[in-house]
Amino acid sequence: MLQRLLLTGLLSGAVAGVVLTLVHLTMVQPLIAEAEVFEQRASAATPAPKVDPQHSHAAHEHSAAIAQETWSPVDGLERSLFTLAANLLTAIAFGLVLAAGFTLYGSGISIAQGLLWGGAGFLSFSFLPGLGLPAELPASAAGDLLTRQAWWLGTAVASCAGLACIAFGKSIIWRVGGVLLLVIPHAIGAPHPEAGAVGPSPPELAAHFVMVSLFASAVMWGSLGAAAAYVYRRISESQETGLTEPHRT
Amino acid sequence: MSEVKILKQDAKPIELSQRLAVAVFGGLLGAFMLMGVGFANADLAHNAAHDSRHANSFPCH
Repeated sequence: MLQRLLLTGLLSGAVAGVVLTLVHLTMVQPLIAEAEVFEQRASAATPAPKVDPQHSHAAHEHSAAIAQETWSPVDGLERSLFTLAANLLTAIAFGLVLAAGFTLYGSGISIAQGLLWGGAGFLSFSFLPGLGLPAELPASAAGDLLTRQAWWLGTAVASCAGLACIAFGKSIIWRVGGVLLLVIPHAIGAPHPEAGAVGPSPPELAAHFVMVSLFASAVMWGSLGAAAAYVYRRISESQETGLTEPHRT
Repeated sequence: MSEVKILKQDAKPIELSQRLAVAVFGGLLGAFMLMGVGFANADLAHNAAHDSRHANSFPCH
């Protein structure tokens, strides 16, 4: 059972990671490259930025990291390969979470059901956190990093739990509880930058980036859900025949 | 054949506690990987996975 979970996560994540990287390199990366031109222009125009004590500590750390020239992949093939590796790891991680869900569910999963599970993953890990914290282009104004990460993770976990309550809850109370879990993170509200804070990238580019990254995420979750359901079922079938075959005489 | 049928029936129901243990392990492994690739604040991890983090809408910078 553990082997089935690990293989499902690994294989479906590999497929979805490659698909995600194809979408990333053709649609997302050009926008990041364009934003970095504005980022560099802005940092060239203000060589010694004032450090505001109220300003985000993490953002300051990031600009300090740039100033100290920490290693980062060279533009071109190396950078694309690191993106592929990161996308593969991300998709495998999501694939393991999905396979854990299949294991808890217990019954066989069809490809159509796999797509539904993928849709739930898209809502929980992309769309619903994105309602509060849309995908950020490099050089966008943003609130404190740790607070944003905490809100994002809390929203993802609450959304998973909420959708599970709605889908599998046996009474109306569970479903109402599920809706509440979906709503609460947004009622608390995502941490936003100070009012009026604007980053150097143009808003048109940032708006385009949000849509493109949501699209990439939807494609990734769709392929992950379908691939995970396929692999999970194939392994279940082969394990069942493996159990019975030696006795078929 | 009857033996085969009995074996199949025996093989199917796996106890919830056993499924729960495997699911928790898989879920935690996935979460641990996600933390490393998407959320670790170390500069090296950040720079290597930079574009992927932005595209996957993980909070970055």
